[in-house]
Amino acid sequence: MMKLWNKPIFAVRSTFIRGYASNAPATTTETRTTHKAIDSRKTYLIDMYTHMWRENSIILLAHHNNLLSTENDSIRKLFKKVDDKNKTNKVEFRKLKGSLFKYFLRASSHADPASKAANRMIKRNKIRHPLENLLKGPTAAIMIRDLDPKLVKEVSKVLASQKEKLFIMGGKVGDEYMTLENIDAFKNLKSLPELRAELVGLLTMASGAGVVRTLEAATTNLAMTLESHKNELEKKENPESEEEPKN
Amino acid sequence: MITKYFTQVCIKFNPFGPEARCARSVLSQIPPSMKGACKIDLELLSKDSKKEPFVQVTFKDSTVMNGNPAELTLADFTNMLDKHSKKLLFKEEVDK
Repeated sequence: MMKLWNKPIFAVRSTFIRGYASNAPATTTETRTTHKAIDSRKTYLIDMYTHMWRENSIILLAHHNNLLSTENDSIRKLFKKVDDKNKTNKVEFRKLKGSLFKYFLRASSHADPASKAANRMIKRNKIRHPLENLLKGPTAAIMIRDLDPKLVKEVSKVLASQKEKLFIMGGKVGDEYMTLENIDAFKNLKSLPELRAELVGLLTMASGAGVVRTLEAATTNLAMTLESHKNELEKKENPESEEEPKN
Repeated sequence: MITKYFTQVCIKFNPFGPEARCARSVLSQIPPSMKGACKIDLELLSKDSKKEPFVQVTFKDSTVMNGNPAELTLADFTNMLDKHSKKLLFKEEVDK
């Protein structure tokens, strides 16, 4: 509220003090009011997580366990390989800062999670997030841009070789939050285009004629009823027109 | 935590449960240098599974210690396990 009141006054004052030579109106640029300093590491990371969260439709949270730099490199290389194989989709591996990601998750419903307003919203409503339980320890995120169960399967194959060094605990798929079991079920599904193709195939092959008939039935019914109605109207009109001149 | 004398660690926990913090901390205490010597047996539980979350450590002298990560903290585990590890350490020093 203060901001709304102060703004025009501030603009007028600034023009008065600075004494612009030109007649051009002073342009006040909209500045973000962030909870932490705008050029701070925390704001940067929260912005990064916001971008990550909104760009990728699948985010798997995994526990990483004392990875040596060589192991770290090899895991990243494995993910890179999966990424290169899929040209349309994208896979990314990133270690998370737990406390900040937890804060981001709580603020994720807000338009700007790094803002002061988001912080106020969390405090006022005591917001908790279902996935924040997964951040109690060293956590990494595996991000997949498009919704594709096949890629999840490939990623889980990569992780199976890592055993306790890196394992999935849960995550977000689309708009849903998933536990490990759900992810296991999800990765065995077919991808969306495949399912669509299957549906189309079923419709055309097995019961194609039946479906076409039922779909057509409604329109033909309508046409027939309209036709009969028209006929009736005509019948009604005709005797009237014949009777009128008589009267 | 002294992990030098561990030969096997068995951890079962639900990552969404209250035991997650302790179990994951214990798991992350085992350094990568112990990978050959110490076998890690890990199982993730789900909400509906009837298995209790637990942490079990087997030492070199085949002593077995276990505890429930939902009730204990990492500090409790460290205390409990270090007590025995120190005994083994002392024995080793004496034998030298």
